[in-house]
Parts: sequence; C-alpha cells; structure tokens
Amino acid sequence: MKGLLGAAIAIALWWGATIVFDIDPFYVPSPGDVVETFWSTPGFLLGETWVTAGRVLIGFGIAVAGGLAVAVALAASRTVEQMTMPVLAAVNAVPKVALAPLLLVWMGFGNTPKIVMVVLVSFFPIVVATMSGLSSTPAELRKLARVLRSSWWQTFVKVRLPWALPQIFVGLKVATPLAIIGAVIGEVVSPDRGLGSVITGSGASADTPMAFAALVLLALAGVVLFYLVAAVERVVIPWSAAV
Amino acid sequence: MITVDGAARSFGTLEALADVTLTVSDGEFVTLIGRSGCGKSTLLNMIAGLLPPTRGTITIDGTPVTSPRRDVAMVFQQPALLPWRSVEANVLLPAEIFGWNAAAEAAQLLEMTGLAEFRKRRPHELSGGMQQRVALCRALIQKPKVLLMDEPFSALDALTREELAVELQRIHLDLGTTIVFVTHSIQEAVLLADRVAVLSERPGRIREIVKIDIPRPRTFGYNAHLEAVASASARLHSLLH
Repeated sequence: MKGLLGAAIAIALWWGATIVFDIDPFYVPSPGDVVETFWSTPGFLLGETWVTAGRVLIGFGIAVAGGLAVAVALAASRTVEQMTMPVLAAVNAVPKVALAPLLLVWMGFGNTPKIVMVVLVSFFPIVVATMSGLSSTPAELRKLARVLRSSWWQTFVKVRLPWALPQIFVGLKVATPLAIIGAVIGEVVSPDRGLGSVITGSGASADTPMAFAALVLLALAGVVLFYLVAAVERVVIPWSAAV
Repeated sequence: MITVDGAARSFGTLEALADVTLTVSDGEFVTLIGRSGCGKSTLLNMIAGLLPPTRGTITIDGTPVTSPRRDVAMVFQQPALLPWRSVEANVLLPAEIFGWNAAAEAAQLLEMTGLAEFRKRRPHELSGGMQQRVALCRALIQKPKVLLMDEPFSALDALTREELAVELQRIHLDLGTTIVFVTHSIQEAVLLADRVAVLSERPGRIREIVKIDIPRPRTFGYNAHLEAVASASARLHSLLH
C-alpha cells in the first residue's frame, strides 16, 4: 500500500515538473502523453513487452539453475572455492555491455544473444551470494555436525543449504533488475523486437513518448519480477523474516 | 568410564593443556572449573573426539577415543539450533542423522523438560533458557552414556541459570548419565558436581580434585546445606585465586 502511494507521488512529481517548468514533450513527455501513446497502440507495446519478458525469464531461469549448480560445486571444496573466487571476481568485473557487440558477431541476430546477455549479467550475483551463504554456516553448527558425525551430504542438505537460503535470495533479488537490463542491452545493440528495440527505434524517429512508454513498461516488469522472487522467498523460507 | 591418561594438547607452540589425568566413573557428575584459557574446553573437545591429544590417551569404556561417538553427546554454550526447524524437529536431528526412529523419545524428553506445548514452535519464539533446554533434549535423544557440556548456561541470566542447573541435576538423578560439565561458576560447580576438577592457568593441569559431599537433591533455597556449600565454595575459591 505504501509502495503504491510512493509510486503515485513519484508520478505526480514527474507530471508537476513537466507543467511547472513547461518542458517540451519532445524532450520529456508528461505521464499523460505516455499513457496516450500506450493506448494508441496497446497491442504493439504489450507484444514487445512479452518478447522482452520471455527473454528475461528464460535467461534468468538459466542463470538461477546454472548459478546454483556452479556455486554448490565450488563450495564442495574449500580449495576449489579459494582457487575460483578471484577468477569469478575478475570475470564479474568485465563490463558485460562491452560483450554485446561480440555476442552479435558470435551469435548473430535473434533471441540467442539477448538471452545470453541476460544470463551473463545475472549469473554472477547468484553464484557469489550462494557461495558466501554456503560458507557462512556458524561455527557451533559446524561443530554440531562433527559431533554427530554427519556425512558431507547430510550436513549440506540439513544445515548448510537451508542456512544459505536467505543469502541466496538476496542474490536473486540483486539479479532480477540486472536480468532486465541484460535483455535491454541485447535489444538495443541488435534491435529486432522487444522493448529495447522499441526504445532504439523511437530514438531514431524522435518519438520520445513511445520511448518513455517502453521505459515505464520495463520498470513495471522489473517490479513484477522482483515481487515474484520475494513471494517465492516468503514461501520457501518463512522462518527467515522472523529470525 | 572415562579415562584421561596424561593427555596434553598444544596448538603450534602454544601449550593449552599439560598432562591431565582424570577418571570419571559411570554415572558420575564431574565439573571442570578454571579461568578463561586454561584449556577446559580443549579437554572436553578431546573427550568428545573432536581433537586428538598431542600426548597421552583418552578412553571411554576401554576404547580409545579417536572420533566422536554416538553415545557421547555434547551441549555447547550456544544452543546451536536450526532456526528453520521446529523445537521437535531440532530435537530429532541426531536421530535423523543416525537413521533412528525416535519420535516417541523426543516427545518424552520434551515432556520431561516442560517443552511439550512448544514442540511446534520455532527456536526464535523461545527464551534463551528454553532454547538451551531444547539443545539438552537434542543431546539426550542420542541416549548418551556420556554427556559433555561446555559452559551450557553461561549465556543465560542468573535466575535462569539456577533454574536450569537444578533441572539438570534432576535429569542426572533420573537418567544416571555420566556428565562432564565445564563452567566458570563456583556456585554451579558446587550445586551439580560429585567432584570438581580445578584446572590451573595455562598450560592447564589439574590443580586439585575437590569432592563435594552434599546430599542430593541439592537446592539454592533455605533447605540447602548452607554450611557445607559455603565451605566447598570457599575451598574452590581459594584454589582459583
């Protein structure tokens, strides 16, 4: 409820600014202009939203599955973890935007390079959060596991993984907006369909309200995805909020 | 029976514990008391099989201790409960790991410690004293011959400590488990112990073993044997200072 109120205030400020400063809609359209643009072609914009959302969901799904698998494999051994952490940090520091033209060269047009870009940007936060969660088991719980002579697998399933879940979800929440950014980067670099392509196209034809409409839809998609993850979190680890 | 024979432990160049010899009979309650860093917990960890002695040997019922055993349970200073599990599921953790079916025993233990109505609650809903009771139940579900307790009540407030000490005494009288209990508290040692092993400062050695001859069940109230308690406390006090 408070979130909705905040959004309403933000929109009011935007609208107020366009009126008070008498901004030319060519540069910054008012919310009214944007809504009008949306209603003039709702099917078109929703279709493009769906294309982008599809790429985001597929890429994010791959990043989650791959990120969790890689993190678990790496956390299995302290040596492997210490060996790979610097490499991961280095790879993560490469600006993924800079790879977009290369992806175009390697994979051409179409869905693949966009999905790959989504995976690239959202994969690392998930890996890093999962690994740090798995290595944060408190000393007394590790000791308990030793006293009980619990096997590696038992300790992993009964102690380490559940303990890591809150941190894994932090990683997932960091990764959701990145996933959307990844899809848009892909679409801006090689426009075909999707909201990123709409923005590139409307920039070329100076159709600012259209670009803004696409931006608003991207923001909404980001909010929806974030709250989806948060909802899953509440189901999976209801104990975490209370602890 | 636990036999510690000339056990010593160093960490690198630091000698934590030097030549400790101690026997604990079946059903006996022995407390280890000493200043911080005197190696009390090191000794306990060695009896638990978590830490090999650098010299000397430790046996339980004649078998040398080389790794943790199912019939030796441990309670730590922290309750070390799993926050996502209910009280009952926490108590059942060792049984799960051992592949035992112990639901009935868990219910019985929770009944005995007054936690029956909280069995579906999560640890964060309980007070510190209740959490430590859960940890105790989790140790007892192993049906241990030996219970090792590492300052189990030291994170609790004074009143809760007394309450839990009296309760532990009752459980000890009921079950006859052999207990080795590390503490900083003279009061706790006198209430609980058949014998108190006083450790010297680092490297820890046993300075003296004090027998506490006060009839059980002991209490903190007016019917405590105040004179005997005072003299035992004074004896321990003079050994520690």
